[in-house]
Amino acid sequence: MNIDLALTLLITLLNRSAEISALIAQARGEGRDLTADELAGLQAADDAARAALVAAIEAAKI
Amino acid sequence: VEKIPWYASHTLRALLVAFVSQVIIWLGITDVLPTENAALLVDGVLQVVAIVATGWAGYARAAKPTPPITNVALERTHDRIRSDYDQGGFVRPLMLALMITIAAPAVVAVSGCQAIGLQQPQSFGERYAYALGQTTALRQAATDGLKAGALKAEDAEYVLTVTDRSRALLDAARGAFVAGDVQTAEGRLSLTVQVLTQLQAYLRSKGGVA
Repeated sequence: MNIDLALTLLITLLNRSAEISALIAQARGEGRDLTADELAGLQAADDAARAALVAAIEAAKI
Repeated sequence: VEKIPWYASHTLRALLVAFVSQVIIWLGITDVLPTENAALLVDGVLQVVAIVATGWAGYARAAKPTPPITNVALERTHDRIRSDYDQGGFVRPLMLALMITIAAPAVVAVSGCQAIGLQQPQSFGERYAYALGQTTALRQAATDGLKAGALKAEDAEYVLTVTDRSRALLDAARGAFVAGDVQTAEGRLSLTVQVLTQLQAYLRSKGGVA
């Protein structure tokens, strides 16, 4: 069990959830659901996170 | 061992931030904001600040030097050094790890999004967004853990594989929803959330040398 990793996970999950919650609050304030563009933005963020993870794995193997 | 002023303590500063955030929420100061959504958003941010600050206090107490702040603590620290008493009166790291890895997520899970100021997902798009956010967060946490040496490369590869599968499931769920097959879409979404929850538990249990 690793305290640093557990904390990193908890804080990252909370931060990401807070960002999405803010996006949802904004959409609801405008009386609409999340748009395709907003969802595409989240997908792009996930793609970027994936690329960073792949790069980190490759760097760790060197 | 030298005494330090209270404001130089990471633990006390973080606890002060958490305390002030909670007091602002309890006093309802955000009610003066022009719209209900704005007040909810600010309350949510304050709740997140309070949780993060509490987590930071725990981390600071566990991982940073802990010089005494009061004269009483200074005396007791000297007594402890003299007696070479192991861990007496101090938080045990394993207990702290247990609290962080089990208690904190459990509190969030049991109390739900609303209690920590997050919007409850209602539509398919909102549930999809939260699940995708979890996938992203797991990838980011694995990247940070790997860079910090807290996660092994093979564990990070496992996270990559599982998050890739969850992303594929999510995209398939969205495709089904767009095509009008709501039942299949909700089923795939539910499956993804289960996979992500298990992956979180796996990641929390990992650690050690890269």
